[in-house]
Amino acid sequence: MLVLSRKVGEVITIGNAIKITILSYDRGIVRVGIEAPKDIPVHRKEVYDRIIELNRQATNVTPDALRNAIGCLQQSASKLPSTESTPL
Amino acid sequence: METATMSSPTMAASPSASSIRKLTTSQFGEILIEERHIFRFPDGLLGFEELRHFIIVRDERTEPVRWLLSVEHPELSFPVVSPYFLQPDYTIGKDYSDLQRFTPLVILTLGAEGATANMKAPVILDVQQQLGQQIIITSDKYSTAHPIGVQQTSQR
Repeated sequence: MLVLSRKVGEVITIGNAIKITILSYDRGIVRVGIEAPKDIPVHRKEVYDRIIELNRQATNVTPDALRNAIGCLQQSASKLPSTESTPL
Repeated sequence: METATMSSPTMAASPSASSIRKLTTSQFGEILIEERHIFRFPDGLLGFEELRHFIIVRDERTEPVRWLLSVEHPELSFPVVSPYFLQPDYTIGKDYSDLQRFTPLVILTLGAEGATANMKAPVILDVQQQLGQQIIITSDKYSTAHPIGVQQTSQR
């Protein structure tokens, strides 16, 4: 891992298209500004990891187990044409 | 809004010029799929980057929830539902505002507190190009664990 020290306001560039600016540091919290092209997704790692975990969990769901847990959804779907607050 | 995906795929498709394949799945037994109903995911799903081809499977037991099934690994499938069932005003940003073309689906999981939907990381199907991808919505507006099956109120 490359380790750099930066002061508030200083910038790190990655390749031609990515800039990371240290915006502020206060009581252990660093605020970072990231400029990157649209096709490079930037996310907090814990969110990313959580989504991967949820995707893994989703593959363990079986139709029978799910059926028991979504009764309300099925009811609202079957009632669609007559329900006022229909999502469709 | 909700049209294309829901009508596109699946098992009972009538034979046509498009070639038909048989998949042996663990959840749905043997199913027949049409090549033209396959969605290509250039980046896979998060954590499943190697899965590049999916099909939507319909199972009467879980309607309106459907199943995003891996063509490469038919033992893997992800329960998905239209987010509009859960939150009628769901929005995924202007890049995907053309609802004739883009259909969002949210992936469900089962936990101790029942079923939840990952509203923060929807799968977006491009029903014109038969493409798909999972995106992460940057804003804090949507939860990775939106409760369903009870009332459609809270939103963490």
